[in-house]
Amino acid sequence: MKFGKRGTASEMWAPGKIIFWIIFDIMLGLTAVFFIIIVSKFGSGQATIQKNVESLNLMQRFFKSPGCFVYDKENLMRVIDADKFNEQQLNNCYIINNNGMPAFKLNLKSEKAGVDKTAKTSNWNDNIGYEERKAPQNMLVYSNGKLYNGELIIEMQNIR
Amino acid sequence: MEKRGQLVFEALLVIIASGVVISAFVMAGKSYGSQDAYYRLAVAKDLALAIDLMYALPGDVVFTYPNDVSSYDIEIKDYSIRVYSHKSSLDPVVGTYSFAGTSTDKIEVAIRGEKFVRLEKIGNNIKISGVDK
Repeated sequence: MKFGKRGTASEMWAPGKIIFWIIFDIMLGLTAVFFIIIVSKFGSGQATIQKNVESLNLMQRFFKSPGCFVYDKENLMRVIDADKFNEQQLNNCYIINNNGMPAFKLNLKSEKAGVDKTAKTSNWNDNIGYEERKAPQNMLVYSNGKLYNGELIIEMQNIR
Repeated sequence: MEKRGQLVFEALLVIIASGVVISAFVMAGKSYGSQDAYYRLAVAKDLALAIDLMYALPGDVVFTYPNDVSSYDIEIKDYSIRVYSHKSSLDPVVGTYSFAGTSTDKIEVAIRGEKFVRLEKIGNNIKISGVDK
């Protein structure tokens, strides 16, 4: 540092120095990105959620929660209320703040009840297909005051 | 005199900026090197999974997360969990993970330096608090 050097305030922000600071910022940013990439590559696996546990965990609410589609007037397990089964209800019981969360498309079918409904979560991308389709789950379907056999088919995107 | 002052000011600015950058890298390096960054991310993921699973349960349930989290502050809001150091509010390494919420419940809580996290589901709502035992 040459404190004896003559300079003015305008020299401090002279064009040459501004270019220096711009290049410095870019280099600093690149270094930070490089650092993060290297660290994440060599990082421990202790924070990794194995396979698709999270997606399986998330879809449980569709089968079990009265807040989603489960019929809750009587003490019955695995009964889907056909009246509740719609996209609005699905997006009320599956609220997310980023599109990287698993996306689901559900299809409820019951021939005897005459039900064939589909609902998608808000982050479902229609332009790409599903990443995984679960085997149909046998469910009871409550419709017009009666119980019918039916099945629930779940397709997933952004599995994690 | 004014010109020399400007040069000193410039040097100070460079020193402070360098100090901030170097200390951020040192803190991040220490955090990753000691596996602490992964632990706090694991805590965020564990809590997110626990919340996701509790929303799926039809009845009421109480669960105490058994890992010691007294070294961290935990913030839960906007369907996201943030875990960072209890000592430094300017922690550059934050463990963050999202969960799926419901329209009937909104979790907003901050747990600072308490040993365990207690999650309690009553009806369709989850209440989260810090407990020491």
